[in-house]
Amino acid sequence: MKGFLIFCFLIGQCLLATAQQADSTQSAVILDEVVVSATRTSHLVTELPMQAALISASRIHSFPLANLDDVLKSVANVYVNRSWGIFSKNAAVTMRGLESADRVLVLVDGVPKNRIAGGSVNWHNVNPDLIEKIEVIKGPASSLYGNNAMAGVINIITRRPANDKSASATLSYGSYNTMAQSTQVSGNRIKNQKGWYWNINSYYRKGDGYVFEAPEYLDENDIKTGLKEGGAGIKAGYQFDSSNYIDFVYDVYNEERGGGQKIFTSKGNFEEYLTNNFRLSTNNLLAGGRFQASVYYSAENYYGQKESLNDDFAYKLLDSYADRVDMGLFSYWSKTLFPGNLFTLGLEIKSGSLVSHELYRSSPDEIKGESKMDIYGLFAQDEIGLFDNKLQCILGLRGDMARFYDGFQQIKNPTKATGFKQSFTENFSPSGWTALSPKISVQSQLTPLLKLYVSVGIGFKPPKLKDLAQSGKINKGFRLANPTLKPEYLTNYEVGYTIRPFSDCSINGAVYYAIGTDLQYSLSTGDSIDTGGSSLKPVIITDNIARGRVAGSEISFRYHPIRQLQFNINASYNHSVILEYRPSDINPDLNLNNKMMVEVPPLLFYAGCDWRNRHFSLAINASYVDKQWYDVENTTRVNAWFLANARISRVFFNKLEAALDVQNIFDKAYIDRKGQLSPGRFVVFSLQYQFNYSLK
Amino acid sequence: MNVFCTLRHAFILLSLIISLLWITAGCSKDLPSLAPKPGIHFITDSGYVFHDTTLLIGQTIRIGIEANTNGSYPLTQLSIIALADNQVMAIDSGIYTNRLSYSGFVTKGISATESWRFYVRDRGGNQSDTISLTLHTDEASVFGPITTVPSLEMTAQNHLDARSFYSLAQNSTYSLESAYINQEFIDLLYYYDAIETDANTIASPGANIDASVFPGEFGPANWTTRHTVRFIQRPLLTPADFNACQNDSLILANTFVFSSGYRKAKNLAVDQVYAFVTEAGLKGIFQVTQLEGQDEGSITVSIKMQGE
Repeated sequence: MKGFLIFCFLIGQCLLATAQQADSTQSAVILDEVVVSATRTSHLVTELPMQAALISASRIHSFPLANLDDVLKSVANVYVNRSWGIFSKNAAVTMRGLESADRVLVLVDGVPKNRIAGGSVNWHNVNPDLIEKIEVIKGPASSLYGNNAMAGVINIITRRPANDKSASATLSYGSYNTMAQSTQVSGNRIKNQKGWYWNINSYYRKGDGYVFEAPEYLDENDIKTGLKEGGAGIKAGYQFDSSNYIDFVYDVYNEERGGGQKIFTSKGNFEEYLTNNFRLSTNNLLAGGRFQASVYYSAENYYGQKESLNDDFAYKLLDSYADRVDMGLFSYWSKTLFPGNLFTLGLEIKSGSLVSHELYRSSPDEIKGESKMDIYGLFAQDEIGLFDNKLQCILGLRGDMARFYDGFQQIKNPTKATGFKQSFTENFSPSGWTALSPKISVQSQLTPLLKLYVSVGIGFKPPKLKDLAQSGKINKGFRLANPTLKPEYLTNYEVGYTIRPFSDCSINGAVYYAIGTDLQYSLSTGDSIDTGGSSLKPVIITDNIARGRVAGSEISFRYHPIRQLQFNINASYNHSVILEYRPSDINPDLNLNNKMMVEVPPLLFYAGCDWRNRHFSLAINASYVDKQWYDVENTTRVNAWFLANARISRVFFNKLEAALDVQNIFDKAYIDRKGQLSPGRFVVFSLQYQFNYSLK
Repeated sequence: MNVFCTLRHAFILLSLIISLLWITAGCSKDLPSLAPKPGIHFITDSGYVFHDTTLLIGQTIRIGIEANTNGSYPLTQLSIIALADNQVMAIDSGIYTNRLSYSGFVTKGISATESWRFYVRDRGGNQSDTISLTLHTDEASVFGPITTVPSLEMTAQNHLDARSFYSLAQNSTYSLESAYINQEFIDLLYYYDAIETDANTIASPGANIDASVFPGEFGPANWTTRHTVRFIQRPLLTPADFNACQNDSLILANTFVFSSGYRKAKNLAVDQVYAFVTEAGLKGIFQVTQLEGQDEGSITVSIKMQGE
């Protein structure tokens, strides 16, 4: 009842706001915005022969979110799994009926956030205040981006300082004693299109967290999750003229998140990440075309402490260390070769390494591993417009070649904690693979109101270094390295449409049929191991085990009757099933034929509306996530859930903005696949002060 | 301008500095570093054996060690290594303490000599010296007699006539209520756990048994005396081996150090043979001969243990 009253209050505020005379100096949402990720060239989002979405900075600012990835819930067919809210160490963002966040390529200014070593994309180390827009491209895009662009691409584009001198500071306080601050100072000295620009920023957040164990399973070892995180960064560049610039970005991020259990140590289980990112980019006119190139380096140092007491009162303490480094170069050049044509040629080199060390403190077990992988990609794309652009065709082809090398694992003094029979060192033979990723899309403007496209493309996901060469304890059990793992591929056939019944409204959708081959799946070997906890845990290995099929559809409806108001409704349905399962020698009794893929909610639904004028904004949304299978054998399902969120904000004195975010308005408790509770209603009040400054 | 302007700059700068300081502080991980190694020695009190000695097969002695950290890290691992007939048995126990006092009973096995080695490690990975003692077999040794319980039926927790508890000394089964009254005699209990990896389980009152299995005021969780028996499955022992056992040689050949055993024998199946050791040092083996039903069912075992 209390939740309902809050909801009524927010609806009332919305109606009150719409009744006000709007001062519309700011446009909240424009349907036809430019995206570049889909083709690496500029296109209006509604003109693309594929399903794409763009989330603007103003939308992010007015969206009820506690983490950046929350805003992706508003995009059709994107599933964001973050069951502990801000206290989750990561969010799994998946698309198009395919589980595993590795099947979606996430970029920040073109630099991959998916690590070659594996591990989740860390959404926390992107400061939402710095984002200009997020572009979401659905369906395979490996013809342009290569590895991981299998279900789609999310490109987060940060802004270049536009104002002469500006700064902002934000303070917030919310549920579970969560407090945060962020600050940024930016400016430029650009005169006659030439000069410097810069931005310095920092943010910090801490919170006590909550106990995620359900009351019936609670014991004295369950404690609150907690978090401490902070980051700082600098972006600086020099603009030579309106078309040529070079910029440099460095940011550092440190986080510590609790695991909700404590036995003897002072902190209990926790994980800590320290990430350093560098990027140097240039954008120039070259040989009559546009040339862009970036080099990047990203290092992530991980430390995790895990302790447990099993029902035999045996205490286990484990220190885990991992250093994951990614570096690379990507460059591409686009030029109009003849009228109606735009040709793009590109080169990409990526290199990743993983050094891991698991040190058991309660037994003599020790596991070390190292491995490296290089990926070389070459791509070409031709965009052709015919009949006054009424028929558009995009042809793309990319070839990737990868090399896995310097891989080894060393097991020392094994006991039942790791399950190995004896000490050994295993050097993995170097290996490699190639991938060819074509794509063709044809779009026709059938009528002024209707566009139709057909598209066929192939995407792939390479094996991760941690699956290839890293054995060790994971949440589900104990993972064994599999150096024979190969890439998986997805061939996608798609028909889509865009309808513009009138200028303020767009409806787009697609139906697609995708066949996956050599799908990588984590399976039990049939063995169990005592890794601590209350019961034996399965030994798991990732293997190429089957073909799979995803048949699905999605539809999005956007309408903004007046400039300040937008409605956004979307739904998607996926039927994701495993076909032609190949039983492995490791566990020949397992048969997964016709089993549904895990962690894929077939039905996703989202509805939201935003109101925004110069002084006031209100956003309300609701989302539904269908039931999903938890285990590969389809014996356990996670229940569906429905969430409603809202954000209301008001600007005072043109500089001070007060905002109230309410996540999960009705305080719906739901249980995730690990049987752990969500944080429930999460309320944050924030104050942001923005101003221009003078250095004099 | 300007006080407000100055304050703005001060606020921004202060925020940046605080964030950077925190990040810098966060970079310094709590990595272990080398420190003085922990100390370890045998307990030399009366009743403890702390040097090499000669024993009869089956003779039990008490060994104790004390260890303490010498650095800033607590002790996290106690390792006991037994060497006999070129066989190595290592027992690693997870601990978390600055000072450890451990004592245990060792029963002389059938090998000519046994070497027992002990060391501890701390949180930083620093390892103590290894202390050891050697036990020689007295040539006058003979194998001891055993007691046989040919058929013991225990019924599960929801059986209509639930008699899930058993006393080795009394050779008698008990209901929950009568076991509560006679808790000082209870050594074993049987229940069926819905968890797939547990299922048919024999444990002792000292095990960590979910309160939902034996709920109420008489449940083992509320007992003041909770004896512990530990178990280890012996998959190489067949029912024929079990039946052929006429003295404690087979028991001694398959026994284990009490602390290395499990408090529960889980997922029991017919014909499986388990070795067990009570906290008082009594050693034995049991074989599962019959299983019926689940939480309303029963288990039948045959037991052979030291003594007459």
